[in-house]
Order: sequence, then structure tokens, then C-alpha cells
Amino acid sequence: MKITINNYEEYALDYLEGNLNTEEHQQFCLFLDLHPEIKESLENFEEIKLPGLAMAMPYKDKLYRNSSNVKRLGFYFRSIAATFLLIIMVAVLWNNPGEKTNDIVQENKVNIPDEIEHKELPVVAPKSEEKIISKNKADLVKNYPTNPGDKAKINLVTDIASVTPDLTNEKMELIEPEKNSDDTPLINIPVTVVFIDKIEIRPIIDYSYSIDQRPVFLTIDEEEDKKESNFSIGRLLAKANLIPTGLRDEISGSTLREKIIPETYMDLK
Amino acid sequence: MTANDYNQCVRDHADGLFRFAVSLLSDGTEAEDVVQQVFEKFWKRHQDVDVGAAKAYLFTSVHRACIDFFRRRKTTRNTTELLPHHDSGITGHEFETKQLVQQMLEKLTEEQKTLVLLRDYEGYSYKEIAEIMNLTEAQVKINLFRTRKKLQFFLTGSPI
Repeated sequence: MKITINNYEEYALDYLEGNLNTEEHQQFCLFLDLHPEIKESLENFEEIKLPGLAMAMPYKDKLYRNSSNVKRLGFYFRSIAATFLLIIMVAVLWNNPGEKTNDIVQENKVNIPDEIEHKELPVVAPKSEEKIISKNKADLVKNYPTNPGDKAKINLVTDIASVTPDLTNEKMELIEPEKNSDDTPLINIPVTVVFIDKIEIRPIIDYSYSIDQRPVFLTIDEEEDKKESNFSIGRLLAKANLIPTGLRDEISGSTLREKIIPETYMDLK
Repeated sequence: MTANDYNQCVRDHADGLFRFAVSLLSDGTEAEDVVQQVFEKFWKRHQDVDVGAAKAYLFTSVHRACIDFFRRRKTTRNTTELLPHHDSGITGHEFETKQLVQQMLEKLTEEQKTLVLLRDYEGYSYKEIAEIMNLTEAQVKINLFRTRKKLQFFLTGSPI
């Protein structure tokens, strides 16, 4: 397809995000050569993305359901009824073989299921929360080590609701690597971490994960008596090579907001 | 989908759906109602819904519910109520960020708002957004590009 002034917008975001295939890219470049004003505007285009919000659904626990209890209780009552029926039938057959059996069986078949249906209806008291939490705890044992200094993988989608950088600090700490080290400088950003599940924040645990094979570290600092999952202060260590070199000595909150957050922070979401 | 799958959906998507609804409706209480209603309907139908389609189903439902809300309250909308009521642990900075985001979102049309929320908050692909919003993929890309330009103008004052 030929890219023209009438359809270039369809390709603009893919061009900016590097998602055009070779042919489309060549076509788009040809189009830009013919329209230098658009080329210039796209070169100056800084993609604006919304910062994430630390917001959780209130009373989320109410949304959980569990039908297994109901089913299990239904099965339980039906089992009792069946056993009861069987006992009656055996007793009747034992005492009066061949007489009135059909009538009695029919009588019981009519009465007992009615009781069952009656009892089954109000039994909708799910203990789902307990079950879910205990399941999570089992997962947490695996995923969240308890020893200080241990490292664990965090799944940002399922484990963390948000990582909000604290940009009120005037200056951010820049951590230079040791001499003769291949590591790049890291920037230390205080962050508020909101966990999705209610987990205990164990002291001084380094969580590490990578995004696009780029390591990022999230350290949960020691917080005494802070066992709530939705409030903990951590630190985010992001590669400082994302910061323009000339700005590394003066890293202010505003610089972070303008230069770092759109690239680093949004990548975390 | 089983009851366990349903609960996993609550765990995975309830917060995202709530954020999505709050940003669209600018009202935490209404957003909470919408998400609750959507999950109630979802629970009734959960056995018919495929696990892989659950997220799209939920976001589509919330999107539709929010549109219904817009229509119902078109004349009575209280634009001063920008933040959800039940937020906990909001720092001063978060409050400022939320205000800024809300101000930006208020500049957008409902469609632009939905596009940018699905893309930026939920990380949907253009194809998935097209399915949720019943648009073509090309329409999504064009509208999102125009929305980004609008946001850039709002934030920097420089049009492109």
C-alpha cells in the first residue's frame, strides 16, 4: 500500500515504535522525504504516555466466589438421602419381602428430595477468601523468600499493582559501579509499592526482574510493623544510562519526571 | 471457566478494571458500582466464557457500562469529584499525579480517553483495543496517534 498524506497517520505510531516491516518502513521514509514538515514534527515527537496510578478496587474480597462449597454440600445431602433411602428399602424388604415395597420407595422418593432442596438453598456461605489466601501463601513461600538478601522474581502483572516513584525528593542518588566493573551506574529512586495480594513485607529483600532483558531491581526496605501489603516504601534501581549523560550530576525530581519516568517507569507497567 | 478461574480473574483484573472505570467516569463510587455489576454478570456467565477471552470480555463490559453511565448522567455530571472515595495510602505526590492525569483525561473525548487508558494502563495491543472498542485496527492507530498529539500539546504547548 502506498503511504500518502491521507493515510500516513495509520503508520505513524508503528513508525515511531519501530513496528513497521522493512517494506512499510521504506515506504514511510519515502513519504517523509516528500513531506519534510511531517518528518520534522515526527522527529520532535515525544510520545506521551499516562503515568500509572496506584489505585486498587475497594472491597475486592466481595467479588470472590466459590461454588464448590455449594456443590459439595449438595452432594453431601444427596449422599445422606441416598443412604437413608437404601437403609429403608433394605429394612422394608427384609421385614416384608414382596409387600408394599413400591409404595414405600415411592413415598421416600417424594419426601426426601424436597427436604434436600430446602436445605441446600440457604447454604451459600463461601469461604473462598480463606481458601484463596491460603493458596496465595503457598505461592508466596515459593516466590517470596524470607531470608534477608535473598532474591526473588516479581511478576509485575500479578504481584504488584503499581510502582510509583517519589518525585518529591530534590535529588536522586546515583550509584556508580565499582572500578573496573562493567556495570553501568544505577539510579536510586524511592518508590511506593502497592502489592496486589496481602503479603507480609519481609525486611530487606531484593526483588529483581528484567524487562526486555534489562535488569531492574526493586528493594523493599526494612519497615518495622509494616505488614500491610498496600503500603511499603521501596527503592527502584534503574539503569542510569537512560539518563542523558550531562544530567547525571544534577538529578532532580523534575528531571526524573521529564527525562526518566516516561522511559523507565512506564516500562515497568 | 471454573470458579477458580473466575477468582483468578478477580485477582488479576479487578484493580485494572477499577482504574479504567475511575479514569473514564472520574468518580470512584460509580466506578466501583460498575466493576461490581460487571463481575456479578460475569459470575452468572462464567461457565460460558473461555479463560483466554475473560480479560477482553471484562474490559469490554466495563467500557460499555461506562458508556451507559455517561448517557444516563450527561446533564448531572459532577466534574468536581475527580478522585475515588475509597483510595487508601495515597501520598501527596500520588494525589498530584492523579490530578494531572485527570486534567489530561478531561481534555480528551470519551473515545480518546478509552483508547489511551487501554493502551497505557492495560498494555493492550492495537488489535485487542480494536476488538474491545469495535473499531478497526487502523482506526485505533489513527485515533491514538491524534490523541498522543493532543496530549503533547496539552503538556508542552507545542503542536506537531
